[in-house]
Amino acid sequence: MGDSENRVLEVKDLSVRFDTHQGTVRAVDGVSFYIEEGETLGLVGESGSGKSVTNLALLGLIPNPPGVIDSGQVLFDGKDLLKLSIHEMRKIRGNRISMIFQDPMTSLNPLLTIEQQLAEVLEIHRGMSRREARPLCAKGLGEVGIPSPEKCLDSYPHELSGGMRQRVMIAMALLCDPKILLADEPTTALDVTIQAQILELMAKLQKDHGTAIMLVTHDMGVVAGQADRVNVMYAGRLAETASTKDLFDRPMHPYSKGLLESVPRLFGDASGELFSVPGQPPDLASLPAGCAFAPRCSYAVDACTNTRPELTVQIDANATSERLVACTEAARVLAADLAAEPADGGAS
Amino acid sequence: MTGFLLRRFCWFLVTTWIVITVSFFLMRAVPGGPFDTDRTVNAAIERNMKARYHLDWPSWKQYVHYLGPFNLDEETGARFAGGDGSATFGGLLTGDFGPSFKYRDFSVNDIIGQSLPISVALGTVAMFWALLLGLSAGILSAVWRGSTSDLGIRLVSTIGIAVPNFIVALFLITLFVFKIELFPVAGWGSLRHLFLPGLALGGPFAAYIARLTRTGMLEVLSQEYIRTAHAKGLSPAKVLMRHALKGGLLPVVSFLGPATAGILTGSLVIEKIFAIPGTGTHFVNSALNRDYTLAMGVTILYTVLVYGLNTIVDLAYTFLDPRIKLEEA
Amino acid sequence: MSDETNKPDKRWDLGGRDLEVLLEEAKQYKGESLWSDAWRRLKRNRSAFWSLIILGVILGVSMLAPLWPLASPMALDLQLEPQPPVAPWVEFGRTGWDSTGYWELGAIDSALLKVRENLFGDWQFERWMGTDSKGRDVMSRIVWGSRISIQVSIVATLCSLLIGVTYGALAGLLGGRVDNAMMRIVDILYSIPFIFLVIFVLTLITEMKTELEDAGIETLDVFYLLLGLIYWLTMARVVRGQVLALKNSEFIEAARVMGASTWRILFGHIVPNVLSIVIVYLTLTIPAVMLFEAFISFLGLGVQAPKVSWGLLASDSVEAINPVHSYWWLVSWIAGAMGVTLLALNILGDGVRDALDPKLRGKD
Repeated sequence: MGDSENRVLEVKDLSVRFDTHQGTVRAVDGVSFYIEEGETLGLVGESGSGKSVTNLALLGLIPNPPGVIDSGQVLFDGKDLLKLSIHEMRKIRGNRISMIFQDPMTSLNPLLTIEQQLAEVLEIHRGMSRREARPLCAKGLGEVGIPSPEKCLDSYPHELSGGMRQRVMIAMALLCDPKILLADEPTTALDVTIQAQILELMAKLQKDHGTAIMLVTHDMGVVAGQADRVNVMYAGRLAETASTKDLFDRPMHPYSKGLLESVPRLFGDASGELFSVPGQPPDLASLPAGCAFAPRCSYAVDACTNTRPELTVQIDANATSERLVACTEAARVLAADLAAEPADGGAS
Repeated sequence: MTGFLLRRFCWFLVTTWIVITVSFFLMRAVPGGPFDTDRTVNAAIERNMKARYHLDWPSWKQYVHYLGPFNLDEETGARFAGGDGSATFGGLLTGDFGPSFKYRDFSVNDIIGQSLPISVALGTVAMFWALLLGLSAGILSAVWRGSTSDLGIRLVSTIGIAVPNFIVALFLITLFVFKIELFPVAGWGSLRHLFLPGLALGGPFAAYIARLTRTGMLEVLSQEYIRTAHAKGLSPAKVLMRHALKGGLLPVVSFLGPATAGILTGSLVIEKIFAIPGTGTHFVNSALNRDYTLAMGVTILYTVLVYGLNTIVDLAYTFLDPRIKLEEA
Repeated sequence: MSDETNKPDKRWDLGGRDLEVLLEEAKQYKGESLWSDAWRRLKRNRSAFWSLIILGVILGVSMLAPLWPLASPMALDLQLEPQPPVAPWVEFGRTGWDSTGYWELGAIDSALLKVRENLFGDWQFERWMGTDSKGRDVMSRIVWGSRISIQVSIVATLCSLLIGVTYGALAGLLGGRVDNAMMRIVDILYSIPFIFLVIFVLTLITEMKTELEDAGIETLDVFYLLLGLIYWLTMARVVRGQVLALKNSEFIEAARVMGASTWRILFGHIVPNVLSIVIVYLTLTIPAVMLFEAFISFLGLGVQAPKVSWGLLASDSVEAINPVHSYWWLVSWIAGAMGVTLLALNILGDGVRDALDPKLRGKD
């Protein structure tokens, strides 16, 4: 683990700002992480924490203006994606790295047939004609569990259900067998039962194709079931990086701990009210000088309001992989976790 | 599809019938007639003329006679066209608009037959200008939004919407006919004669189309499926052509119906300024001269044209937007 | 409902802020009505605001036309050809104005004319904008012509408003089959090229002028009504659509659930929402009607001499276009006047639409 040989994508010190009328918003502020081959990396956080922007920035899809990538590197295949020309970048998009979005209703063009939208990918990246592409498109649709692919190819998005549309999106993203799939809240807009089907499908396809997935979500439940490792984001910065097991067992950032406690549990203490992280996400246009989470943090000490903590390696005796936390009080949080563990049974 | 067309056709019949009936009785409600103003004609001749065109009949009888297909003129059996008494059937239902009251040697069909191609040519050139200028300006404006060019295009299009077409025409004439002698001043004969009038007629519509296109394109460009298209690796040009244009132009397509009607209307003025012998000129003259049959003929013709083109536009819309069902339209 | 929310409740986490502070903030948001918000945003839209001022000036100059020391708009001075403008700094004014050189004026206009006579005597401005081929002062004709153009557009728009709103609201409120039938009628009327019927009616009223005047009807009144009759269709559709949408909207439902009375719903929710859309459409109809008046007068079917309107002036200006002489002043002043007015109306209309757009409310 942590071996840089296996890393298919490495993000270093990525910063994105938006110049709005209300002032400059640092949506992503010095974020560094990596994705390993074939793994699923979760990226979680509240809305507005910068997780979707990070996702879009990797493929240079930040709308400009108002968005500007300030600094950073996105290393893929020995190249810095942020330095590529638009022309070179286009060869990566949808081919080596592809993306699926939250709302399958709006992510597909309502005026074009499914075939037109799928075949297009093969046309530009594989130089195929529409006729050559069609069987491959049908095969792709079959792979994502669409019952009659041929019929589906000729239909328009509005004729399909939400779950079907998301399957089409996934098929489209996997047509060129990409190394990485960036999934931005792929199940949020779907019904719970459909959500489970789609997640299952993604896990299966990952196994078949060996694609690495970055799963951007606000849903801790989804992360728990899917991800190998998790990045927790808060106010444009990484709060914590850990393996899923470590994070769920022993969160070391107060924010991660808050997020986990806000997930309803089927077993355990059912009498209490559901916990929620107190307060509101901060205004990114005017962040405090110190830790952005300090105003909402029950572990905060005076120093937290002055100095911004950096992401540093933390000692956790039971860790399954390297643990990085941006909190000076991480040890205290860990101690609290361990103290609570016997009562909770440490169930995993 | 067939159901839609059938229903459209039924409403078309109703609409045309209303137009015919209303305009027929409107014209005949006025005291006097087409021959009153002719001071040279004496009373006897006037009576003869009236009798020839059945203006001495009660209006309802004239109306039935005008509509056809049965001939109410028992005496001579004279029908409108030619008036030689050879045909038993006639009237509007057989496509016969009758004789012109003023151009006595011509039937309305003759006059329309001569002038309609001119007006259609003018309208086509105008529509061509409107679409060419409007679409390119609108698309560029949307793609370069916020830039100086965008601002310039928006300013020009706002002025274009505000200024009446005859002022545009006068301006164009001063500039391109008198100052730079590029085009003939007026008249009819070649495509060169249609260049300026077409531009003047299409100009305001180009301005409107530019605005519609800009708004439509901006709306579409902010949609998530455009982001998907970029994420697939499409070039910006392809994203624009394949994914944005179709949706962005839908509002323009639905404007084409009103635009055709507007261009037909506007041609009344433009034909007058440029002295083009089109249908519009005939209509204005016939309305002023109380040339009943000619005015009616042009009105019916334009109703049919507007209705037909509107139906075509609606059909085109449903082909472009698969979400719209004809049955619901 | 107010009692419960005022109590601090653990479930409503306030992020460490006091309830009072939050309520204070909420008041600031709520304290702004639709209209004051719209007005504030309209003022901020500089081009729309200047358009409003320009239109105010034009309206003022136009309505008080008899008061200005202008030459008579119909006093003929037969010459060989139109006289070019004389710049005000060359010759500011001259005498020779004749108080009888007007068509029959209303009581107020006659009074204003009297005031002018007392103030200026027979002094008048020099022909700053030149004269037309019959020696009439162009500036005076533009100012006097604006009155009819403005009157026509305002009265006709109000006419269309009255018919359109009543029809549309009725269709929307009654709903069902009645609504269906009413809208079908609108559809049919839409596909009729009205210009032709208008021209028929106009030839009819010019023909029947004496009969109408005997009955006490001014031809101009018929003209207003006629234009109003064309422009009500879109208004009816828009109003009906809005009423229907509102009738089924969730916030009306919510108001009903909260026990609001029918009257309260009607005047508290439906009327303001319909009104804003009507005002937007109104500001866009006025320029359209003004254009149409010009169009009709251009064809010689609108206002009849000796009265004058902008359309008539534009029509006269066609004479100015010939390759031998360039009587530019016959074209440019009227084109400028119409252009500026219509442009200002359009910009104002757009501004009003943006200002009242609910999607943009509360933002800058």
